[in-house]
Amino acid sequence: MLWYKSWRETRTTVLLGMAAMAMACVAICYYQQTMRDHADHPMTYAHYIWKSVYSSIGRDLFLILAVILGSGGLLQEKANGTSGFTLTLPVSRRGIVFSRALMGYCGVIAIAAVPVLVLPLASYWQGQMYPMEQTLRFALLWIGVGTVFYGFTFLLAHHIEGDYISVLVAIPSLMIYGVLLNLPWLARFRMLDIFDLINGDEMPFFDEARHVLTGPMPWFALVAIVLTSLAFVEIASRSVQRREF
Amino acid sequence: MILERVIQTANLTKEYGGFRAVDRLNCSVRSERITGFLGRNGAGKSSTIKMLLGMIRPTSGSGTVLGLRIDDAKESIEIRRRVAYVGEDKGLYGYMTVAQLVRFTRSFYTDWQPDVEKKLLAEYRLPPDRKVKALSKGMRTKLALLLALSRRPELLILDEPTEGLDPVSIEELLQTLVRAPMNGTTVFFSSHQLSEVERIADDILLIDRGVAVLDMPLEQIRENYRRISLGFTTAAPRLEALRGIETMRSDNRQVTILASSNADAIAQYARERGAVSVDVAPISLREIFLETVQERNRQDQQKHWEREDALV
Amino acid sequence: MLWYKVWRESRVRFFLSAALIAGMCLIYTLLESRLYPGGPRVHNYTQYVHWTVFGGATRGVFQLTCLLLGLGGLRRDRKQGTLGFTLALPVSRASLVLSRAGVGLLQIVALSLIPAFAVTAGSYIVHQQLSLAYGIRFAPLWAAGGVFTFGISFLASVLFASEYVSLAVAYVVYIFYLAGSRLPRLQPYHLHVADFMSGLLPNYLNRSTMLWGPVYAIAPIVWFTAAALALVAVGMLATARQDL
Repeated sequence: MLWYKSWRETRTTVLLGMAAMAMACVAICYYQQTMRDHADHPMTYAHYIWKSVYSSIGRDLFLILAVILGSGGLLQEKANGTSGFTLTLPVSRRGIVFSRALMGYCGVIAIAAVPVLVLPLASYWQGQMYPMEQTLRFALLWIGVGTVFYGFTFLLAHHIEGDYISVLVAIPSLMIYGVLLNLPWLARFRMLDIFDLINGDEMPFFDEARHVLTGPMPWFALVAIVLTSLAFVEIASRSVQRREF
Repeated sequence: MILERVIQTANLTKEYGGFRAVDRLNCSVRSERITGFLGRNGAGKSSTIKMLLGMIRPTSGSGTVLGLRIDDAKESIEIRRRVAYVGEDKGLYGYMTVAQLVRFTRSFYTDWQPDVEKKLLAEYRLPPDRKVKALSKGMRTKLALLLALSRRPELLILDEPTEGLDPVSIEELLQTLVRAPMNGTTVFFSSHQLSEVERIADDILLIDRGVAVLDMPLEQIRENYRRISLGFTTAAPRLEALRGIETMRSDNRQVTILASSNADAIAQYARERGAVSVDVAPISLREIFLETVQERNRQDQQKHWEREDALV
Repeated sequence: MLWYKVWRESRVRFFLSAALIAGMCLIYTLLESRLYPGGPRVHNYTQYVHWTVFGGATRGVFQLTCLLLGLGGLRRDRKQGTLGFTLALPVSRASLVLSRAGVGLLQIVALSLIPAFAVTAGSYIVHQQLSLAYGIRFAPLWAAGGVFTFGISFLASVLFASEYVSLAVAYVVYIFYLAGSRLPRLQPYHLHVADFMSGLLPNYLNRSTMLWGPVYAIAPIVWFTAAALALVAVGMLATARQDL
């Protein structure tokens, strides 16, 4: 039943996120002709979808929702006065933290999965074609990078008390991480640039001319990122075990 | 095997920064009895309870609940499985309805009693479909009590359980607590309502500034504790601190003694020292509480002044 | 003293925001020689600063901090069990809301001034020329755009009980607003707040040099500030009617 509790705590954000993502995808498809007609340069439909969904609105929406999902947890419960009840349940603190984390990961996956179906369907409705193979590939990238945004915020939310502080710290920290990866001596770790990895920009698995993902997926980078995210959750769990409530 | 002592602490200490909330606390709670846990605000009651339930770690010392170590993470889970607890703040998940919270809590315990749950739901008039955040404070307290009492725990720990309850509910709760030991449940509860404690408690544990100052069966307290009022024709002489004298206050020709035992011998001694009137009277828990705590305050203030004088 | 209460509730967020914005400005300016991307978009240092700070990632962080500063209020008081105390104070709900809005607006004005000073100082250290006047001209734009962003989350925090749901709602609304304002039909109205803050709406900056042109964005500043005040006013009306 800890799952139920975690679900109740995150469901509004998850459902709101899924609805917003679906609406964004539908709206982007709906206005495709207008937007492409007014673009600075001619654009293919695939380019337009990449630029609108995977390189701006959809991606930004997804990443911030992943961060918001990562906030909360036992420290927030402490502030709201419910941690006493939770901690006297006959379960380990690790169990509490991991049930919350896993439910959050499910939320991240659910939001990332929305464009998989919605984009091809909405494209079809607009008389266009956007293959599900592409949306699935992008969903994998989103899930990989989304988990690290989620995990990092989760870690902060279990270390720093105070409303919204984890969100406030997480996003700029990850941005600074992205900036620092542009430094010459870190440039060799291109695959760890989560901001380019998520949309394929300047990546070997992305066809810059056609704006589609081609070739093998960056499995190594994705696994490394997911493992990093799990490490963040593990550190959060250990921190909570030491903490006094 | 039935443990004779369900809670035992040895030099249990908790410090927050430089502040010592619990100071080498040694106490024990006997099984299948009701123990009233008393103390002023900030005396260390909630910190002690939190340590017993593994919410905070002791700075030093040790303790066991139901024979399980409180500072061991695995044993702490087992403690929580066998103990029911109602916290001071009654913080419950506001986003769940009453029925959802009951279902949620029930899933963690094998000793849940659906018939008791139904009975208490009706008795407390808790609306199952109402969200917890929409309940009044008293109703939230009732819900917290329902979640604890719907089980058959070996130990029931209650922190200020009657706070916010109406008189009828208080009476019902006290009756429930009185019956609990018959079902094998030990009750350990803190309260500032001394009259309630006096009505139902078998044992009293009084702490002040983290130190146990009284740990005794109520029966024994009633039998042994006495107020001895002495009257002298001239200024009262200096009296020896005989065995049993807990506090002694002198006001020119009047001396008031709080004795925890040996009252007859103290009275006899006072007569020998010239007391013209000696009145030995039983004393209520409330008076013992006030005398003990206030005397400790006086002693601390005295020490403080002495230190200040020394500095001057 | 209501101001003091609001300040105490939001000061950690404010100081953290200030540190993050200043930190990002300094990282971009001090590491300029290593981060300078070259290429077709950035030809000179001024463009680089605009691309990274006044019209780039730092502006994004500033907008995020404005969203976060707008959250809180009586709903949060309720969740933390302090609502009874707050509402029992002999002040109107309007005063409570106004004090929160007032402190928030002042904080945003203070935050909007940071990049001008941080970038000028950083540029001086790395021996680059960028006058304080260049950065200062962005401050009113950032302040107006910031209070508008603040107004969105302020209203969301009044309408939604959960702190993270109100943040999610505010952010979703904000993203949709930005996307909507890019629609060709709405483009003539120059509603895109991020472009406005970057000085690119419509063309207060020369897009090829990223230097200020002769016309300054007085009208959009007034409009965005007015819109922010309207959002706060709606929040105030909603608070007055709420059963808390």
